[in-house]
Amino acid sequence: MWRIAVSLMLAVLVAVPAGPPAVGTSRPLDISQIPPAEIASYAIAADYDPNSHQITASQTVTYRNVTEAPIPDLVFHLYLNAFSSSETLWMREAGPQHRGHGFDPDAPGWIRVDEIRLADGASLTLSAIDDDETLVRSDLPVAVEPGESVVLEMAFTAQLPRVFARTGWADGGDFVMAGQWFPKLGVWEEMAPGAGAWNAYPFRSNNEFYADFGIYEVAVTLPAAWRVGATGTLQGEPAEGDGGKLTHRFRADHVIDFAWSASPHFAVMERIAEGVRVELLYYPGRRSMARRVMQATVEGLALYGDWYGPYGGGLYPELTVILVPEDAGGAGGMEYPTLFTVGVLAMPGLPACVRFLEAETVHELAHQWFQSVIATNEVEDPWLDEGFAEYSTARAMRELGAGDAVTCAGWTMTYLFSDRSAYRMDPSRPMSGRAWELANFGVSAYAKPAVALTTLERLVGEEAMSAFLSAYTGRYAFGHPNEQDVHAVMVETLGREIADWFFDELVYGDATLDARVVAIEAGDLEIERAGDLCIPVPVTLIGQEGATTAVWECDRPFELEADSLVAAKIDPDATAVLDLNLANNAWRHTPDQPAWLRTVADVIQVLQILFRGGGLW
Amino acid sequence: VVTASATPKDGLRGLIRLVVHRPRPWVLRYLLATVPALILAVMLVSPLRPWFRVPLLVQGLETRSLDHLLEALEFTAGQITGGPLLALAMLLIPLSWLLARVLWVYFEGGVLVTYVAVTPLSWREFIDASRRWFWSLLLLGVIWNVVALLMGVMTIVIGALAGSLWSPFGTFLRIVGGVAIVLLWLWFSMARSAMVARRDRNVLRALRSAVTVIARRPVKVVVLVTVTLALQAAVLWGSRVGTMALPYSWWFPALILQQVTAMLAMGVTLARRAGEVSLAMEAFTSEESNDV
Repeated sequence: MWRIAVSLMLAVLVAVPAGPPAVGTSRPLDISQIPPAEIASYAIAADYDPNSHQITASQTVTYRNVTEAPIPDLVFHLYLNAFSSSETLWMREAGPQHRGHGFDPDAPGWIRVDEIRLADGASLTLSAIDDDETLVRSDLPVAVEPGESVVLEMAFTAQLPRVFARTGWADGGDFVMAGQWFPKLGVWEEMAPGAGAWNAYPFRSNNEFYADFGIYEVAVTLPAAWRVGATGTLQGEPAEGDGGKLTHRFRADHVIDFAWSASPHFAVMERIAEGVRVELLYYPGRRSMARRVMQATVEGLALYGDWYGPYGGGLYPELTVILVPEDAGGAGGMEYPTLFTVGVLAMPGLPACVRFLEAETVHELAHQWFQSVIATNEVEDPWLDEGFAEYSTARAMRELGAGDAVTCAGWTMTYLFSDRSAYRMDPSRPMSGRAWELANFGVSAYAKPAVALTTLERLVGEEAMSAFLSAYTGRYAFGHPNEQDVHAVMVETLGREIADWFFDELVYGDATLDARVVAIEAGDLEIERAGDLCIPVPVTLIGQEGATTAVWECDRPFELEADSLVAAKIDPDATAVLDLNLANNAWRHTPDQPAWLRTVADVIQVLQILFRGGGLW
Repeated sequence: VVTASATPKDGLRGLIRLVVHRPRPWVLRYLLATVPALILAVMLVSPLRPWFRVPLLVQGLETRSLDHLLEALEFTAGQITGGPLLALAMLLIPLSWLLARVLWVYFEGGVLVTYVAVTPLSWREFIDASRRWFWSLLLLGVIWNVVALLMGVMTIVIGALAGSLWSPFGTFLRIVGGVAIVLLWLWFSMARSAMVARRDRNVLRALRSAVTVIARRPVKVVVLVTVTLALQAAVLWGSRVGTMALPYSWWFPALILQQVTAMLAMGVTLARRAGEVSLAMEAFTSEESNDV
């Protein structure tokens, strides 16, 4: 998911009270298999009414027990119930707003399971786990034994809200983004030999998603003129349904979720990139934005393919991108398997040289690796998907053909700068923590991981970093790794010392660093390091006779001599992006006279243009 | 007695020769823009001199990196020696701008007459001409600024409203508004020259005369404006590319390049003035011949 704040306003402070207990707690499952074991599969027939914004649907759920523990019950997420009123836990925590978009209490969302029974007809009963009924459970008459499957028949009604927090309708009902729209199983995890529990949490404002892989066969029935994009691949031509509607059938294998979006106004842009068919749906008035999104997607697919392996582990043939219309910004900036949405940062009037839309695009695209395929638990380890996606965004933005986040009139600003700005506002937050427990979700889950991973990349070098990332993404494709798994891969690829330092100081710790030049005189230099974070950095002394450099270790005295000191620079290549203040890393004995005079000349030129009226009058 | 000193037949080269051979307006315009700019630039940048001890700031300016520049500015913001001087400079910028504009309008009459006089004007004649046309040209300038402001605001507002209904329509209206402002500018600019050419200080009649000039010499007007604007754009582009290519520490070559291109840009502006007034003279001379 995209965080609303970019650039200097990036820090998202969300104080989250302690939450109700989880049904289970996370534990890594088996290492990935390609193709993966299909555990939770859904066959859904959904009929959407654009007037009431309601989905009437039936679904067949097939759940396979791949653990050694028998499963006595089933737990379902009913996410839409978090939007049933302004009084739900989600809303109370959030404001009720999401990324600056308010909730319309007159157009709420909810979901109701009308019927649930086993395939043999035996009826089941659902009971709420939380007050808002975002999580429900049902006892099974007979436990699902290891290696066996259970098949359920369900009927449900989903009322979509006016676009809010990634899902709903907009444009007077002509646009719909259906996300988190169907009853969805939690993840059964084996806690000890022969004993397991469901890993599922009530839906809260910072809690995102966690699910098993499965096959989704979804039929969406819509008015005939509507165009639809969805997870997976369209199966044949749409079939005529009741009332002049058309039914569009999609199939997606090896995915953890299913979302779709539709509108009668959608135009389509298509490209083949890295062997993947990319389909972009957009409103015709946003064609120029759509071109930018497509270009970033195509370039991003190539970059991420190089860094993390092929899109979808080579198993996904298509990628659908939804550029949401102007009044549906709340549905933009969200990732689903083989589909993502953009548009939360598509600000009208912003020049194309300000490339937040491209950044949003490559961020959501990165989630196709970090969460859709490497399916970490976004509730328990939010930094594992958002943090890696954010790091990937900063890295990809450096590589995009048209330049980084801002490339206006010869001036540039990197995307990493926005992460650094956010991190510097609240640097002592650990990255690790459950989503609802993080005091500053934006920093812990997004900014600090991006800055920390970039520092790591510069410390160990791109080659070693690539070895770590490709080992991680290769090993855990279609798996559910957690922090310990990331640590283990880091130990293997970068060494225990680096891995322990990264996790102890940054993932779990609150260590910070501010290396600085305190004073510089002609023959005297005083430098110091504030904060507990140890990063050995080079120090360069520039004297009148030349420059000398030595590494400043954390725990050893530093000595270096230079004649007639002109300037001193700590970490001149800015390896330690985590350094809270890069401006105090270097200092000159006297002001840089040529640079000062050049600035005078530039200011004269600007004022001349002002005083001569631009030469027009 | 005034007459066209460079006829449209002489082309752009003739106009430039006229500007060079009668350099008073050029020098005057350069000084009016440069003297306050020089003083204010020194006043503005002197208090910031301590900032140039921070290499990240220089690196930001040199590489045009907002990352470096913003972080360095955040760090150095409190390190200003001579804050009152900086505050005074900030206050003087709008006042200097206004003064320079009014002074330029004051001299505008003398400038235009310089380019239509048979022989170069003495300082006394130049000042007399400036004084004679000042109030009319000032009124014309005020009307132009008000009209341009209104048109600009209307374009933005209507463009935004239309864009909220249908984005391409909003874009279309913004383009239409932009073109209308350019045409208005052309009209008022020509009115200034028509006023001097007809020796009539009435602003409304000058605006009507401008329409006559444009209607009678449409191709020449368009060519003159297009060529001079293109030349100015080329000069500005050259200045920008040239200074960006120079290392940041090469302040003197940068200063020379900037000042040479500034003078060139001003010279081209004056060549357009000379062209406009000569076109107006030509149009009305032929009208008077027809009348006879």
